Amino acid sequence: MPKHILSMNDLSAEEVMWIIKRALEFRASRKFPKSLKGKFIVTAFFEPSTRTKLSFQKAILSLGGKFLDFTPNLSSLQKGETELDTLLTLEAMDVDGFVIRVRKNGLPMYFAKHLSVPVINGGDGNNQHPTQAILDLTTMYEHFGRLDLKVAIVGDIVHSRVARSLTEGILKFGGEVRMCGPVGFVPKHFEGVSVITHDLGEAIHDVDVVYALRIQKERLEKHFDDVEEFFRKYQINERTIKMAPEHAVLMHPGPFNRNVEVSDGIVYSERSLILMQVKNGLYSRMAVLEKAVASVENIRSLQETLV
Amino acid sequence: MKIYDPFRKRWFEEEIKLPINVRAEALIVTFPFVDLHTHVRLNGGEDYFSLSRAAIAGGFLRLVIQPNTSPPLDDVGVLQEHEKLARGKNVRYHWAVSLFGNLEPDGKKVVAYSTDGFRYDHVSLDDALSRKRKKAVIFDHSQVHELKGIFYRGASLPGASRPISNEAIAMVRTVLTGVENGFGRFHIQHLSTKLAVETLDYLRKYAYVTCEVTPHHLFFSWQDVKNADFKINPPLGSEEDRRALISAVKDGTINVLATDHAPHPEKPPDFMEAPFGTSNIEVAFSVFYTVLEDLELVVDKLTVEPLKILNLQEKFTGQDLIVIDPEMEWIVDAGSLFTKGKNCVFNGVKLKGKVLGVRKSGKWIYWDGEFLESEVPA
Repeated sequence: MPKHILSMNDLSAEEVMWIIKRALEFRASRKFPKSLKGKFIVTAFFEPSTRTKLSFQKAILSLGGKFLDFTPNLSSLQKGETELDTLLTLEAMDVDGFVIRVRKNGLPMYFAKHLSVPVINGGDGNNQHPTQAILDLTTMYEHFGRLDLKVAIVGDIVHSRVARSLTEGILKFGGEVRMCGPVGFVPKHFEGVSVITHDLGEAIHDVDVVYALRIQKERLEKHFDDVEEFFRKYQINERTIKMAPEHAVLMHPGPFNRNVEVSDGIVYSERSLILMQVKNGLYSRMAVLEKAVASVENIRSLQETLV
Repeated sequence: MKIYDPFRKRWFEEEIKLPINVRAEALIVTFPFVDLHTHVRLNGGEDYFSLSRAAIAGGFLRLVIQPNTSPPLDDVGVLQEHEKLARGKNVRYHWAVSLFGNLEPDGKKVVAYSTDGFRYDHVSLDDALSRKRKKAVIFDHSQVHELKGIFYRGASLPGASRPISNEAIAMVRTVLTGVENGFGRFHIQHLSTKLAVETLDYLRKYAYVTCEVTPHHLFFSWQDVKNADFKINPPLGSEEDRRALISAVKDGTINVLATDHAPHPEKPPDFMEAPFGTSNIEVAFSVFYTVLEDLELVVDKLTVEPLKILNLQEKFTGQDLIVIDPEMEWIVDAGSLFTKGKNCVFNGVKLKGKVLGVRKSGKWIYWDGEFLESEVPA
């Protein structure tokens, strides 16, 4: 059975912790094992993406692998079957794995059923984004040394795949998740989430992490007659962060809209782990690729590699 | 039977054996209620025994007692006396202690500081806030006590000189002074004015501020005042205030429904002499349901929401439950209530919906006016 990484719930807490520790190992050392040596991995992004794709490609190269970049003509690929045909054709060329991003929920899971090599979900619709969740957990573990944390996710939650994956990840480690956003932007109910609220104070007053999500301004304008209301109530800035405990940190999956969901001043403040997240993205994806694609005998401890 | 689980916001059906044979199709089962704002009297008035019975008849199994008892809840001896009296009751008791006294919340038994029932000014408030533990939640009876008046200015009633702005100003004072002193959690008690509702939005930029509203402030306005039972603190607002409170419950601005059950066995008929307060815990659910006409909303704000403020984790297991008849129409008779406080402003009022039965730890303890398990009077 190939090891697909499609959603956070496909991974056990032990597996996630292995990936996190591996990622932090990579970050601490400068040299990496060639655990993907001889492997060809296809990066197929059916939805525009720059950062995630480049991050995966650099991760593949860093571990000695090679990538084949498939840039689909977005207009000719509308249906799942067509995309699957393309992937099956690529598979027939003896590739060793896929990193896939799609616009439609659940498509990577559908592909994985038909492919005999590992599939890594690089984000599907508003469903899952497991590698973002893993890099976030890595950053939290690095900062706090544990993951049974209280995390408030703030902003446009219903349209966010990051929120879903991160929530599953935090709950896996016995943490607690709060969700906060304007009416129409938060779900009515979310399995395992104790607090779903429109009041920022209620969400963040006792948390360890305030996780702001990217907001699409077009969506805001549709929901609010007065967009200012959003900024007044939900923007994380120097004033509102005071409602969180002093030890609480700010995170954001990027790219952030300057002075929309987070204020400029706070992004680069000492309470912000946003730059850490960007750094950990590469190393977490390396660890994910190793977990999914590398054969067990190729995964050497870094100690061994460096000797 | 139809069951509503407020924790999962979900309806489901399950067989539940009732203590007597009744047609169960129209009945609804849910989690027992929690009241953040109850008063008890120890000197011959409402004691823990009569209060427990009244609470159970109203569907409540968990109460937070306010500290303005006589003597007040501000030292450890008084608290121990209360604990002793509350022991062995089917109702679970918590206490809010005086912000101005010597007790500290522990998060379990003592759940909050409270300013309710104490005269304070900005000097004593600032002083208390600077001395107290910053982690606890402050229950604030928002009133500028220097200003006199038993009813709001604008009502044609005796002593109608209290400025309507007084509540909003007092809550701003408590929250902002609290934030300045390092506090981050506030719960505003019994909102009574539109101005106060509007002020919440402003205060929520600075702290986690929750609030409650009572049955009487949702049901009556100052035009309805008939006798001294209607002398309540804070006073009843105008019809505009009442409407603003109702929409604030519906849109979520007001987090919690609470009773401010304030029993007085004999209230003098004179407005000036009478003490403040009305007893209402037995009729609270029916009033809320009659006014708001939304069962899920009422249940959520009497269960999940107050538990959140107490920081208590609960779930619906079916061990503790209440049975509601949402269709029953009935007329309140203050004389036949279990509370010792006959000062019920809802006397003679027709309400819709009633708590029929209560089951605690798997055992039926109350059904339709009868207690099925004997409790020893304190």
